[in-house]
Amino acid sequence: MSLEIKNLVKKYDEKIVLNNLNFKMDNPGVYAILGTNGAGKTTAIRIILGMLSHDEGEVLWNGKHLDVFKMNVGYLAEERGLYLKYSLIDQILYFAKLKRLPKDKAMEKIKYWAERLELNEYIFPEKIKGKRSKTIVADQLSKGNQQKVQFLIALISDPEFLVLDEPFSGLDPVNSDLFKSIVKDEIEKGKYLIMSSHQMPTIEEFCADITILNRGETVLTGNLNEIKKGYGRVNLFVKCQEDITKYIKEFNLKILSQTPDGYQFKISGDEEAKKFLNRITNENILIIKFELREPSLHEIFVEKVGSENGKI
Amino acid sequence: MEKSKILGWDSVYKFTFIQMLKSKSFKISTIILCLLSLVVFPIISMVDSENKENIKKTSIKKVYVFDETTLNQIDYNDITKDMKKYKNTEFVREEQSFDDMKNELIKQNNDGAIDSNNSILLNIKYNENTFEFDYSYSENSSIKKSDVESISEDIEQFFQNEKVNNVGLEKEQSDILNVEITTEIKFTNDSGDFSENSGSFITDSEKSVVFYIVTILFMFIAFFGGSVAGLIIIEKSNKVIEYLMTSIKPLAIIVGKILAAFTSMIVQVFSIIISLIISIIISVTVFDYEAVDELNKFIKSKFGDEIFSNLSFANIIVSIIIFILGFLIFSSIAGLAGATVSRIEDSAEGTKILTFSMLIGFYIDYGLIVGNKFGSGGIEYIGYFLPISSPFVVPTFLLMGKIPLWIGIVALIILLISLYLLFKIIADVYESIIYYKGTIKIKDIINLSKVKRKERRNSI
Repeated sequence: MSLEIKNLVKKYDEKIVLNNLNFKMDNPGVYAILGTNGAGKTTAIRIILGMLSHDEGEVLWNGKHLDVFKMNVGYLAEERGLYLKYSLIDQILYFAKLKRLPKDKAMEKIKYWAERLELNEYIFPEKIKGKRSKTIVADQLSKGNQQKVQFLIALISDPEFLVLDEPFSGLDPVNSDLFKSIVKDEIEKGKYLIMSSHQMPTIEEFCADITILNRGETVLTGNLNEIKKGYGRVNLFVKCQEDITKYIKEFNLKILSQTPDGYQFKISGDEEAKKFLNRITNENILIIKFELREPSLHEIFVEKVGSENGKI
Repeated sequence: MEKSKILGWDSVYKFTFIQMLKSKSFKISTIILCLLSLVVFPIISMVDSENKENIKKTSIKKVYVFDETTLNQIDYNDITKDMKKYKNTEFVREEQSFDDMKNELIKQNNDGAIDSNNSILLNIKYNENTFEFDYSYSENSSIKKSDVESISEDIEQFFQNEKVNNVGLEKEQSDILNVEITTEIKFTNDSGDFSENSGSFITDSEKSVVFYIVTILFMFIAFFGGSVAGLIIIEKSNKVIEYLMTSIKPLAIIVGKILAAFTSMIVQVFSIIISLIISIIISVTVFDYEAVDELNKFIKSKFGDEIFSNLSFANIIVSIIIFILGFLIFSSIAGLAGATVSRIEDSAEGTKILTFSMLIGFYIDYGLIVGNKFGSGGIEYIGYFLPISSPFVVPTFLLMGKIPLWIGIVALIILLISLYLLFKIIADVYESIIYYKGTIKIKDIINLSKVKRKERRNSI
């Protein structure tokens, strides 16, 4: 199976909101679409899912036009979408029916995911003896729990292709970990996922390939490891017992930040790092941390988008 | 319309229908209407029986009739057959003179054979082309003046009906005089032919029936058809629409919702009808009140015998179809209007198109009815054939037999064509406007539809 996005263009009148978006997923896993607010991520996702028309390009699944009505797609939108006044079980069953899931199978899935997402008490409220079971509506849930219900709806049909738009926003650390564990399971099951998020560490945790959008334009695309390699190991983190200001000046190192956790430098590469390490080691300075690594996705993102927007 | 575009409408329909039935507004409105329907006949029977009780208490027990005319074959006791209020009243034909009897009544005021306390005297004379009815009763009697006035009106009415039968005519002559009179006003055109609309005027009493029916149809379409806008606005403002659109096409959503709104209306109408039937049963069994007969009598007395005399199967069917098509047109406009609204607080602004189209249609009908323009100069055809006014007035006039069937069929065809065109526009623009944030004007919708059609032509 493969997902291919070819030269997608979307215009509103003369304004181009997405220009020549291209990427391909040949293997199961997670593809990340990143960008600032209004960069075109949600527009791209809506076009991929066939909700929005596009002016040019095509979306292919196994080489054919991707038709969400003919395949099994799960979607978690950035903005939560539940009927606030309807009972949870009614609307979950409705969404399951729209995915052509038989009622008994849907109930089975709901029970499984309600257990997994810790939603049992809301979806299946306990019946108090002698009283009618109380129906819980979406409006009574916290935002985090609404998001969990939404995630349940996205997963209920066991989709082969899952689109998650900002799945972790607004979640507490515990629920964030719960979502991550489910995403990992889905990857292991061989699913294709597209994810958009502002949480760069999370993207680094899951995504092999990324596209960064800025004002509708693709500013960076490709395999994340390759991109990082291209930058080289130019970030040096050092924390020592003694003051090393003298040696920093001696090597004329560019300080990116100085915190109680040490210094962060921008260096030219491995050689410079080695020389600096030798120098402070020869001076018998106790080194607590000496870490040389590639730039993080956060840094790459800020650099790319920031420079495009003229902020760096 | 492509079939795939409405695939899955049944799931939307079922869910929306159940949720509409569960909604508080539906429950409350249905309960109120059903309760009103349930109590209407028992209340009428109670009021009626109380009136009857009051009528039974009429103070007049005996009427002494002195008939100085030649119409002395009339039996006034026949009044009691039609009017139960005179069940205990006896009409006695007296041979002695009225003045003698009056003197006797005065003389025996305190002690005599005549019960002066409950009796009245009626003297009937024919004098210079006038029938004179003189009533006398003792001022010390317990007879109420209102009772005397009431019986005098009833006797006069009775006499008017009976006098023809008692002037010594042959039965055949009498039958001819008693036949029903119908009035017909016809127009002629320039060549001297009669106009086809010659009988389409509505009387003042019929106007009120037209208003009742037109208003009821308007209210049902406004309440249930308009609810489609609310349903779409909720889905759009809650962002549910994004999830739906990954599983189902927008046209299927609107079709499902319109049919759900229609079925909810049918459920409410049937609940009201069932409540009315129960109400009739209660009034018959508990209050011994023949509700259906009384209702018929009431309608006939208020609006005449012919108010629904032209009711035919074809007229009923065409009327029902026109109403359904009207409902579909207004609920489609409601769906379109709902899709132009992004936030619930903008609902009133966004649904103006629906409100205006309904009000314009209603006021066109209203203007025509008030101005009694039907059958005069062809202006009435605006009301008959305009798709926003015909769903209210055409079924009403068809049921009353005020317009010929062909007008109903033409109105039906125009409605069908309008609905088809409306659905084509909806199918073209719905996907685009459903995600639009902000206000969309009618002009934008038409332009968008044109662009989409152009795109389709180019892609062929």
